[in-house]
Amino acid sequence: MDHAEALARSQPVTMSKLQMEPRLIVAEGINKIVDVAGQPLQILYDINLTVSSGETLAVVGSSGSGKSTLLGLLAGLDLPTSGKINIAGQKITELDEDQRAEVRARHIGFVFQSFQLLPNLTAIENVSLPLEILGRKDAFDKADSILDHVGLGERKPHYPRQLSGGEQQRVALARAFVTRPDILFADEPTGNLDAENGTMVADLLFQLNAENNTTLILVTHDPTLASRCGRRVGMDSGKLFSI
Amino acid sequence: MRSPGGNGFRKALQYLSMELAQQFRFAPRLLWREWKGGELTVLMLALLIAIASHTAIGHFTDRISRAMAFNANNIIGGDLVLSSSRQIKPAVGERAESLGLEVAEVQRFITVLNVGEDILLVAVKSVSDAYPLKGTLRVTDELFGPERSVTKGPPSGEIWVESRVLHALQLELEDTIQLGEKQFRVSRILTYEPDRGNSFYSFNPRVMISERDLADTGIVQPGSRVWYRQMYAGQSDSVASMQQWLEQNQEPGQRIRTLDDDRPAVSNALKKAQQYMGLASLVALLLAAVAIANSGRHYSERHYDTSALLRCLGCKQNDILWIYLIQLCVLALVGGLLGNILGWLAQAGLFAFVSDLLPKNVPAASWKPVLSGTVLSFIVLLGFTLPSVLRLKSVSPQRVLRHDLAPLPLSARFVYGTSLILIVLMMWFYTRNLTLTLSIIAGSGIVMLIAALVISGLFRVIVFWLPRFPVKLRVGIRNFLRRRREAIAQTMAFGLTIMAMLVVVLLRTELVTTWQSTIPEDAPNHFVLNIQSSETEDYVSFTQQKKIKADRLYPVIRGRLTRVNGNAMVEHVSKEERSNESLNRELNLTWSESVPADNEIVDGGWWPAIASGQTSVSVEHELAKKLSIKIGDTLTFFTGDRNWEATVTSLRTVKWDNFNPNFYMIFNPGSLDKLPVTWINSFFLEPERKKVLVGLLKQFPSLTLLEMDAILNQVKSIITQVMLAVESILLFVLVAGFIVTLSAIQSTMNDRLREGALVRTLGASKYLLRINQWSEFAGMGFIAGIIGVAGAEIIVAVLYHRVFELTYTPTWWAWILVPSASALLIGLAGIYSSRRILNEPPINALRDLRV
Repeated sequence: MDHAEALARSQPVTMSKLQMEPRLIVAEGINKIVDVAGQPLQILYDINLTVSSGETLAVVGSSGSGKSTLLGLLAGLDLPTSGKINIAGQKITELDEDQRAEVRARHIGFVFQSFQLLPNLTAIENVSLPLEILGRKDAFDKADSILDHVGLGERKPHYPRQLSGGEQQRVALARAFVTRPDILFADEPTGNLDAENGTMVADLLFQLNAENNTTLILVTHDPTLASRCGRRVGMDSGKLFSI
Repeated sequence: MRSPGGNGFRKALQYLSMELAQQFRFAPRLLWREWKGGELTVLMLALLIAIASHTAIGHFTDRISRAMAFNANNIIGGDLVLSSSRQIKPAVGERAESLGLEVAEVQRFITVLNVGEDILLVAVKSVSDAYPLKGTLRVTDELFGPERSVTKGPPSGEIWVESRVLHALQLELEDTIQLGEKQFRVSRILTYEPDRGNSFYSFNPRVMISERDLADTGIVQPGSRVWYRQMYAGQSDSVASMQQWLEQNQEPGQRIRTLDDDRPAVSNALKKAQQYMGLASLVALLLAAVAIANSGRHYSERHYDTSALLRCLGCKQNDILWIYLIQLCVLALVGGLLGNILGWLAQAGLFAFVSDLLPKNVPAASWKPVLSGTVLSFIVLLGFTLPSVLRLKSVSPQRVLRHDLAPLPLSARFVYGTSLILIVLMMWFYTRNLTLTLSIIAGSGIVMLIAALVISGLFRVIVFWLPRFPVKLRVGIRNFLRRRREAIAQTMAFGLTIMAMLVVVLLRTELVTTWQSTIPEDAPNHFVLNIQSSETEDYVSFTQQKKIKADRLYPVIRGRLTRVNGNAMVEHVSKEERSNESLNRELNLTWSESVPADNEIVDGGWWPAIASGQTSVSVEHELAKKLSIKIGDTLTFFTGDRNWEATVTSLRTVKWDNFNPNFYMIFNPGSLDKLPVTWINSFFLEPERKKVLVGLLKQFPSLTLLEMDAILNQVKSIITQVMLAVESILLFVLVAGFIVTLSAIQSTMNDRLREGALVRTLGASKYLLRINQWSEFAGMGFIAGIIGVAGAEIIVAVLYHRVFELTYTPTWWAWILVPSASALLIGLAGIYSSRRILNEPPINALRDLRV
């Protein structure tokens, strides 16, 4: 494959093309086997899942059921042992790591349980980071406005260690939505927060999601949070089932 | 439609260059944010120390060396000297001038001075207007009066004479004397010539005239025995070119002289000092490099999460690599510039501090260390951090979900291999000495290997005995054991640091002691020649009466070496050596029962059992080599009106610059009894008691007195400068060692803080934590101290023997003092660095470290 062809294959899909594609994520026959102390361990068994554009989906399950592994695969952070995953019309299981990174940059946003803010960057610097990776000149302006939008206008120059858990997760939400991603993957977004902050962050998540018409895939063990999604599926011992 | 291949490639290139341009904008921005966040402090500090110590030492040694070389070259009267037994062709001088060098000429010959009926055999030196090129002449306007410096020789029509000329001919200043066909006015007393070199024993009193008057004297005719010298001075490059040209065009009877030939002690001291400075600056640099490697690893580990997140947000693997490469380059550039400024300030401060001790002619700092400092910044930073930073490229984006996913470790062979190659190259570049480089590498390697084995064994013993330790200590010890690999690495790093510092300290102490003993405070500053046998008793009582610290009297017989094993010298020696001055003049011969101090027999034995009446001789080994003389050869000497023979029984080394009477030929006692003998003596006289000499010359009018103060002081001042330079450089090494210790402690601090916070959360008291921290750091310090001493002893032993030609004696005090001091200091530094564990609420530490 020459350079031009490689580039053509990794070129981002435009919004108009996405809107024409109702089946945004298609996973077929996904299996994941890892090597643990020299022994194969199967984590996911024959997963089949389709997510439509604009849908909100909760993946519910207990710890160790394989939720986060599935999320990693759907987001292109890892490859399945077998099976195919198609995101926005692109077979990401056939792309190399760098091409998958391109897909993530253009289409995907993340929110994590442990916030994953960079400790040496201020709130505004953390939020502008994904736009800067895309080379956007308006990165700071956009970050500035979305931080105002999530109610952290006063905390922009503060470092993560100077923010509370709830505030850190709101910064993480601002960072996830600042690129206006097509898909947002949220891994236990309220898992590290108390009830009050958890509710506040969940409200904000769904509000931003609605405003941006983002497809949301939420992994959680919290049934209340899951109930706010349009569709719910369950995971148990690596197997997916409908709820 | 698929575009043609060429077009596609161009597009791809365009795309790549856009990507790269994007990284060049993004990476420095990210770096600046991290700098604000305090992430880069230790790494930057280590880099600054590396570059600052390099440039400070570079500037310092460069300036001091140039000052020392300048002052040292004063001793030979130029940067380079060509001596010849025949007139030097004009082409040689023209060549030197075309290279931009200054040229001065000197002719020396022996002739007779006439004053009325009195005559005196003198050594005449006629000098050109440019003489002396380096240094100054010193003269007085009255006998033993105060000296003053002058930068030119006598003007036409004037003659400057040594005081003994006035004494011998009963003259006073402003009298007139006849030299050949020309009359001269005696205008000054000559006390010092910079280029007088080693010819202490030129018996003839010296006089100096202008070269312009030489022809008028009519003394120098074809066939006259005249020694010619041409001296050159100028830019070091031009001097080197001239030396090369002279070597290629050297004619028989010509000799190229540099400081090495004329002043071996000074040249030796300079060389050793420069070797030492090279070694010390290398040690400072290596210590800083260890600090950089430590902080680089720490920096890289702290960025696993950042890399994972950036990958998650869409950065490609190469983007990550570029981001960190660009960051390292920016850091190297900033570190190089700031380090240069700091280094320059440090050396300027040092010079200001010691300016009283230095000569006034210290040249300004040059650009050379600035350039090498900047280049070095890149080499050191990239070389020692790149292996760690390369790992960042392979951090899985999955780490954002599973924090335990660390990138695959790089091959240990690769990491240590690249570091080792870099270190060897750097050492070689610095020292230009393969022996030194390999000694240090091999010594360190052996010590580190043994140390690693010993420490591992020690850990096993601790594990075995753990149940018997007090319960309160077990938590700390278990923590320590859990970080076994880090603990071993850290202990080794401390050990290496101590070793490097100790090598520098021990070498410095030995060199300074050796130099101090080279020329003791009361080294003889006067030589007395021509003491008649009948005068020796009176002479000794005079010196005792006047409380002059006189050395023993040596007998001197004047003789010319004429044959070796019956062959005339001209046939025996090589073509190049036919003009050797030892063959063309009378030598000073002596006898002695014992080997003189500072002489060492290198071949044969000192007066082996010989048949009565046989004459044995011990020959100076360099002369023996030049004249192809071996043990067992029969030498024929000519004295007065007779030839006599002696058998060579030993070869000796002689320290020519110890300011004591030294001899090429020493005979067995009693063998020279029938030959005419005079005596020679040397003594120390304080400058303020110089007037005593007037009485000495009055009582013994026939003896010859040589004053050596000026040359002695010059050599002493050079050695003082050398010692000062060595002492100052030690300071840099100690600072670098301190920084590396801090960086090593810093590199495991996060784990310690997290563990400390957890243990405190579980109810451990501050006292218990303090005891644990103290025992851990002090224990590491103690073991590191022992490793350091053992390594230093091995390396120093090799260096003394192979490089510095010193005698090695084990340093027993170090085995007790160093481990104790290192336990104390590393213990204190460790407790200081981990004070946060004790002083802050544990929740803060847990929260900060989680993020």
